[in-house]
Amino acid sequence: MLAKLVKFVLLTRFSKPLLGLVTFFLVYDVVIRGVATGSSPEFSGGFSYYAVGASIFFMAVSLLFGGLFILKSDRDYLLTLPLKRRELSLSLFTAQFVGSGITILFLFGFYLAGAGTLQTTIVLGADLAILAAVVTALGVVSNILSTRVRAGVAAILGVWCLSSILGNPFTPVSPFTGDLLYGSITLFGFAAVTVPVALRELAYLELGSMRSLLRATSSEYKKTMSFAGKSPVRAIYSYHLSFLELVGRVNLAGSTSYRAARVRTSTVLIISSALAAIYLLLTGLSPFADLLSRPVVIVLPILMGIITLVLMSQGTFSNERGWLAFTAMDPAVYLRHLLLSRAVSTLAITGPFAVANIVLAFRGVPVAVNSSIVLLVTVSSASILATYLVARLGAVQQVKEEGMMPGQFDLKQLLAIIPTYIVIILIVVSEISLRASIVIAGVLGILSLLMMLSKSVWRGIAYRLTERGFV
Amino acid sequence: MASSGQACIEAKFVTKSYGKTVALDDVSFSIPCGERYALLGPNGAGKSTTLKLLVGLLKPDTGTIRIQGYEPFSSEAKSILGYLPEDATPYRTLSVRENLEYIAALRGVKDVREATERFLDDLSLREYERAKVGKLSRGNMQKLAIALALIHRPRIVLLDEPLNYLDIPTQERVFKMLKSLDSTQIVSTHIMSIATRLTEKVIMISRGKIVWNGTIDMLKGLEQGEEPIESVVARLMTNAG
Repeated sequence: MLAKLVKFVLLTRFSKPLLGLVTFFLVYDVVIRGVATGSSPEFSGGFSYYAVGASIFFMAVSLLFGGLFILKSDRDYLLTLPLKRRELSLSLFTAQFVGSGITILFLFGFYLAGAGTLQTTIVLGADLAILAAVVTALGVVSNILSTRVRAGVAAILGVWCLSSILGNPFTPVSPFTGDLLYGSITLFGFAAVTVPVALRELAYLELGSMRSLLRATSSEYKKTMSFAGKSPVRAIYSYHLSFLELVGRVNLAGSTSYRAARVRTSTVLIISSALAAIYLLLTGLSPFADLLSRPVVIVLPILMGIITLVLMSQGTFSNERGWLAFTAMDPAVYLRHLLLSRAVSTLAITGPFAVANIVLAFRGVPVAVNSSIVLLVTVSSASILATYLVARLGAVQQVKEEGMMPGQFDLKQLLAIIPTYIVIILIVVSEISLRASIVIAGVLGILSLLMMLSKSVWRGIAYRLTERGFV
Repeated sequence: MASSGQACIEAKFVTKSYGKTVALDDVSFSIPCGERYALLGPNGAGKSTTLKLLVGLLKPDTGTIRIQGYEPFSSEAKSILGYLPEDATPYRTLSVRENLEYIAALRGVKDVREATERFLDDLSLREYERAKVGKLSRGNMQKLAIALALIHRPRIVLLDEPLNYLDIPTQERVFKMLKSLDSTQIVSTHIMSIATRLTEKVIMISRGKIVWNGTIDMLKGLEQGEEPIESVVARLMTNAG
């Protein structure tokens, strides 16, 4: 019965071509890592920083934006069936794992090549799987926690993991900084706490999904916007510059959320500025500055790039309402201003870090100039292009009901991640050479500008979205 | 408003396909200004596609559509059209009032505040004006959607199952509101009582083709004995298939 249930749960959430591709790459990954074992130098330096940074990012995003891989039909049918709770929770956890945690295996798999011996390869392979399970579990656990608790836990977790760079062997990411024994034990212990909690939550999902819908948030806004007396274009900017919208499927970082929430841009700017100040302190003024400045300055734009691309490419259209916006004005004009306003609003996240990097550059960290160019121009321009590509591919889903998957996850949506990786490569190249960073920023800036000016491109997107079921 | 008798909505030889599925096949019809039509048809007949084409959200593969002489996606057509899709959801991250003001501003309504206040009162949304739309009941969301479709006083109104989710008192209020509008209307519905109360004429579509076109009275004239009007409609749709 368990096997049948797992098969049913997987096939109702993922298309067969998608599952086929994921399986192929997983097998390919394992074979290549097996063949390559010991052929790379042992992991250290940049690889370790990447592992720590990416792990913190994955865990934090899972906690903050985590969600459940459940469909509306689950609530109406599956959860009402007399199924064994254990089997139900295992099936749903498997689906969560395939949908989110598996990303870890692809992104971190190359570590196995640097494992050295067969024994360490096996241990690291197991660590990767456990880390993926932890990230999956955190996505589920976030459903239980209030926003403040989630933010608090994410911050504590971030600091804990970051301490591995300073030599703490007892963190969940220490296996990837060289402390294989204590790191693996700590990771296993962490998983022993989070995974059972997640399984229990999934076992009683009918209660959990209700809790998710009735999450402890107010049903009224304390501060509201007014659009009275504003022209159509001013109304668009007023809306999107006042608030950052977190809408849609935040899956890229190993988490899945179908929510529509808004955060005041000024609040984001304050938080982002505070974080940028801490970043500046750590990388420019602290005793660890020499150790931290170069790796952190390089990793930061990559993480910022991922956040911005996810916010833009997945979120821009997920909460869009064609029946309102595209019938009120020319979709080309509307979408042009929508994209521009959202690109500008994401500067609330990246802007303070760009400023911090300029300060760092003056303090003798040359690579910080490249990072500033990336944060100010490359990421914003790329996010406009990525938003177009994702919509053109038909890989974006409209969020009509929160806490629920809008439909089956298919291959196109996986392919939609490709632009993100192209941008990450471009960012890495930009970090290597100042000239490259200027050229890449210039080319992407001009391309995005030309695309914004084309009316036919955006009218085509509006038709495409409607044909894909956007209302 | 354009004079009665002049065509406000005109579709000529319109075809629309989604991949290999033909949703509308060589459809032609004309709706004079000021008239109210019900759009009837079984599930998947092409009713929603027809409305989306008329409102300019979709482009026909072949054929032409004119809204008072304008292309459906032109700004002239957009300013006179009001559209409510089935299961419409407004912007979930905005409050009720913000939705009304935002759409009124996008549509260039002169007195945004007056229009907002009017609909907050007319559809009993006042107590929810600061509420997050994502937290509204389905019925209140439908009331807001109706307000958003009508906030710019459109001269041509296209409604897809407008009374879904509404309680009976609100249904009556919406009936009165729609009846009082000085506009051309197309109402897509499966419920004959709605069609007979809101409209005088019928276009019946089945499998992407128009299978019957006439007045509600003509439809009633096809009743055999004690046969209810629903049976007549079902018979016409089945025979067409």
